[in-house]
Amino acid sequence: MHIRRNPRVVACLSAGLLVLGLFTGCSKQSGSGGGGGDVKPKSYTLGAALPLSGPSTALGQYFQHGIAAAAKEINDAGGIDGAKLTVNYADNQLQAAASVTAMNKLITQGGTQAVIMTSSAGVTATAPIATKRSLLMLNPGGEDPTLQKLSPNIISNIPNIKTEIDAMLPYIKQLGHTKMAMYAEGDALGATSTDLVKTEWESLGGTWLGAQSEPITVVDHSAVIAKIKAQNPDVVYVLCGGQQAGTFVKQARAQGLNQQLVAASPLQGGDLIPLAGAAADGILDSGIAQPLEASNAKATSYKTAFDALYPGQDPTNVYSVFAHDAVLIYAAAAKYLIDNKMPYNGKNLVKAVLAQKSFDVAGGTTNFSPDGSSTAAITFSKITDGKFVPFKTVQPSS
Amino acid sequence: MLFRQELINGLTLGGIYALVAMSFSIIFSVTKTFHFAHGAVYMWVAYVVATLQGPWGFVPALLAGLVTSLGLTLLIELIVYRPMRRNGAGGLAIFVASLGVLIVLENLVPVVFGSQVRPLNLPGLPASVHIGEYVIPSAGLVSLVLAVVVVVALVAMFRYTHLGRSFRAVASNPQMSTLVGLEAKRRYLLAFGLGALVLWPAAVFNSATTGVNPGLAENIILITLIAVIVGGVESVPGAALGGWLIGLSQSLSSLFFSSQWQTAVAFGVCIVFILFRPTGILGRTVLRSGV
Repeated sequence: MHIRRNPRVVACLSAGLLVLGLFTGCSKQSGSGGGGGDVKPKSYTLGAALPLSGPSTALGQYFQHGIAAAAKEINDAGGIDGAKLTVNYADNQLQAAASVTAMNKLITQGGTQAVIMTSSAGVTATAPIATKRSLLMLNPGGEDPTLQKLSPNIISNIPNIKTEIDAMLPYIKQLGHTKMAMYAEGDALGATSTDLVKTEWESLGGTWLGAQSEPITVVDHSAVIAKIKAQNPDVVYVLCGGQQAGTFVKQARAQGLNQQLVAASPLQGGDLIPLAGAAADGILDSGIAQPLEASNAKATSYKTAFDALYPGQDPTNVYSVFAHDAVLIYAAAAKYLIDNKMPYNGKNLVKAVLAQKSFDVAGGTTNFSPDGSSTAAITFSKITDGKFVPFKTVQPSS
Repeated sequence: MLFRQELINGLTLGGIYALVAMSFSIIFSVTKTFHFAHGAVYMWVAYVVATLQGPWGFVPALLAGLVTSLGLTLLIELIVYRPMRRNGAGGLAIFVASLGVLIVLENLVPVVFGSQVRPLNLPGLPASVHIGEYVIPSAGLVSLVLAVVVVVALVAMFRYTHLGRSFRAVASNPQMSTLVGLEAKRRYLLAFGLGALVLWPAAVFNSATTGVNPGLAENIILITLIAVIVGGVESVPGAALGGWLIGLSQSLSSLFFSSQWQTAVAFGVCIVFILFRPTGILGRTVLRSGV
């Protein structure tokens, strides 16, 4: 009653509560994860932003399966030095704005010092947040070569697209193709890749006819296909994945764009074969997935965990493997902090990854450069009867 | 040649937009219900056909799609809109309810069908038809022909049949129509049914080109609204014209701008109409004839 009668008291109390709230909020966040400054938290929480809805949902499932398999392996083996690992998921729809929302959600859920971000657009949009909050950002899906410049906290265990372009284009030129057109997804990766393909193709003496791009949500490509056809190329470089790749290839063949199609690893995002069917046959694709060798204990362990969680499904998808390996790298970094008595936080996790440099994971050995990027051998495949059939492996030039 | 190919592409793309826009417009012109959940019904039809065509075969799956379209649409009218109207809810409240139904149905799709993108194949139909040096995807060609047939049939129905005249009477004054023996509730149900019937082939033939994914509902309802606004909100032939105008704008604009701008072009056309002809292409005719 007294408060009602006295607005000043109300204002003072409100201000006090606000300040108190701010302080408690801050202190909660700095201590989140049981680990702002602890060497060994009671439990570990990893955030993961994936496309769980929208046109790239299939891709998101590949990522999620890999992450869940890794978490199962780690927890079945007793956790990270005895502490359980929990993964929080958030939907980033593979788009920039949704990635920021997902990132903020993962942070406010608390407990996370490390986040898996799964696309170039997502990493680009959330890199400033990772820097500001000193979080480790693991990137098992974004292949834009410019990502490493955005934040020192980005650790990319997937090689960037330049490695694939540098390997594939000389091979295409050797096949006798000269006039190249390109179709790319309308995002940061598409734009950067277009510049790289153009530069590389022209340096090889090829004729560059130009590039077309569309947002990943576009499903009718007839206008763009007509433009590419009118350019009369003898080879078309396709840089997109998921539903966009499936609908583009299907409609391109239906509209009589019968030239050789060449693509990169985003094509293996999952929706191409179901959507395009036989129209996908003959595409030449570069990929970064290494075979899951029976002699590699990490690969065997991954397959066992994957089969237990997702019986009958394919564990070899490139994005499942890279997402899985990102979790193993995170766990190894957390263990490194315990062994070296370093406080568990995002900044130290980044230091731990770069200090160890090399990690034995399901996809072989991942070696990191000081900027957090990594390299891998490139495998060329030809799509035959709805399957990616590998026929050549190229080691990275540097 | 490129211009003419883009013209063909625009007409086929516009055919799909026209079908969906007409199906929306039939419902709105008669019942004045802003049936936003139409996009979700479209998505459900596509998912049902794509899911069942494997185990059941194409024709039974197609019929299941028709049942889904009619069933869901009529159910929404009977259990959402009609009780709301009975309780005196205004257009805005019904619009919000429709938006809610859209979201619920959209979110049920991953639960029922999974969130994977699915193909929808049209057996027995070649991928494309070649006319001289031009190529027309078969699904697009069928949609185009169907859209033309449907618009002619609907205009004739609204103008020359008892049902069409009763639709116009109910649209003009539901209370008065009921007094003279034209029960508005029944006409509303028929309008929803007719809208669902026209929506059904649009969902099937467009999905044969684009595949089926959980984001389908929002994409299609957005373009539909633009087409309906451009064509004239209460005019069925106007909605069809709006669909073709948007399809042609998107396709032909790619000759001059990057294809990144296709959606922006559609909205640009819409804004121009809102600014300079808010009644849409056939808006004035609508006020006179009620069609």
